[in-house]
Amino acid sequence: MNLVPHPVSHRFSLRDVPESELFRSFSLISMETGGSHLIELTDAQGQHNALMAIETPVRLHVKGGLGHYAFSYNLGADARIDGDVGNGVGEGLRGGSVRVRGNAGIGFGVAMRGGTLAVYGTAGDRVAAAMIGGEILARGDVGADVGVNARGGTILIGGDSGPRLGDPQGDAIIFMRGQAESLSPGMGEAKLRKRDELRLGLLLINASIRADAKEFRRIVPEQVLITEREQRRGEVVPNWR
Amino acid sequence: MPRSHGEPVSLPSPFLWFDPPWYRIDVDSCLFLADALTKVGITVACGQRDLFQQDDVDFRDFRRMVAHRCDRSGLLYKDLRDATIVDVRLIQMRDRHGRFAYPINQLRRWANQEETQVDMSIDAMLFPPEWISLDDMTAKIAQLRRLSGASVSVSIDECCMAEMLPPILRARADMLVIRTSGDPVASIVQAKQMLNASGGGEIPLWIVPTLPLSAEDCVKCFAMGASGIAIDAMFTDALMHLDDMARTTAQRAAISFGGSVESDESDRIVELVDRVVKRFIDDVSGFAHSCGVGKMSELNESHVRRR
Repeated sequence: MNLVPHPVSHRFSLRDVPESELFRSFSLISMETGGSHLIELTDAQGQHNALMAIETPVRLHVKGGLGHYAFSYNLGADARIDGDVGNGVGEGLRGGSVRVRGNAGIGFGVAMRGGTLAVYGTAGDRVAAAMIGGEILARGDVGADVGVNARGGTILIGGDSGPRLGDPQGDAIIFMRGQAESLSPGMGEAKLRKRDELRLGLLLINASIRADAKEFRRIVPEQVLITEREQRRGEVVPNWR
Repeated sequence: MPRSHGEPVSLPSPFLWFDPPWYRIDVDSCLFLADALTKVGITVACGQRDLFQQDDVDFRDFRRMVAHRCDRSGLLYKDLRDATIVDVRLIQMRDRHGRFAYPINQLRRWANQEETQVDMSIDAMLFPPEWISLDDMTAKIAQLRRLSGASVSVSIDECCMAEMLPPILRARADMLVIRTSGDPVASIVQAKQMLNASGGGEIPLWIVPTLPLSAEDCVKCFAMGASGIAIDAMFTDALMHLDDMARTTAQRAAISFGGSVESDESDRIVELVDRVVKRFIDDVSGFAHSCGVGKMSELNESHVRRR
């Protein structure tokens, strides 16, 4: 994610331009520029089902908030939204990135498969529910049942969470800085490993979140912790002589 | 099948394979089986990952239902884009232990992973996680209509009809699918009464019986108002036992030497479908014709003899 602001090359109104025409314009602009130019979308007023299934590589700056299911099944867009969003935003995300500079509703990132979703405010219940892959970041607090039925991917929580964090049936990795009201049965907390610190550091830089990776902890299935402890017991102790 | 938006969707017959356990048979056989069933007029529920190991394969042009489960298991965007019917599936099948869960090999098939011998299941979600209440169904159906040109159905259990039919009608679903547990005719009558009372009597009603129906039972269901019937209870077990079908000596020898028997495999499957499914559909048609109608849609209550 580029920190240097780009000049806007094109501007469209979400209220006045039909979405089919918008997507045609995205394709043309992407063909001409390789998706490097920034497109500004104005008049975002909480529209539902906006900007779904974008396949073309485009860079978008949405001025205002969007409604439910925005950017569902996105593949190509690298988008920033200056406002709040509704429920189910980023459902089935396949690639690209969507950054919400406001708050998100319920089910943020449900069933996402790839790409990066970030919310810089708070998010409601069931963030990353049924997640399969990709990365989801919440700088603020999140609600209950985060990561329920998540089978893969990475979840990063900068604030606190509600009850029942995580799901021991899946392989999703959760990094947390704040406090969880409770963990799901079968989940446990652990310190970061070195490899996690490096990875987390990159995630935080990419998401422009000012934080030290060392402030975070891992939330993983207890079975994973047991396996890690058993592997450490099997390690050779260097000073055994 | 009329729709509240767009042109009506045409289905070749009023039969559907609602929840095939594709993971139970070899992936190569799945495509032959889906193809054979489609050719006899059955609409098959399947996703890309059920039938193919690659994601860049163009799906054959046959009519299919795609299940939009609460947790979107097995669903790709390509499935939504190419489907004939997208089913908002608010029911969940049980695994062999009776839990609302996916067998691990079903999940592995969807994830393009090799199957495992481990016997375990992963819990399924029973309610879409981004919904607060059933009223959110309207937003979900609107989303699916934007993403897909398909008809949108909603499938529920009969025990939930009182609670779920009103939001389904408010959401203007194109089709209603009800899984019945006992006598399907009684369920159809009850559903039709509720739908008529709510002004939704025109919505096509399909049923998924959990007990096998005879050809005569099917005709009764059509006469009492069903628009379509799922064949799962009648034929899933038979269709899943492809390996039990006797191979010829030459085929077994070819397989043991690493030879391809693809055309023979497809022939075996076509023979099975003809013997098991097509014959049943012909029996149903025969019964319907014996009632003096030319099409299934002409059946009505007067054709059901009251004792």
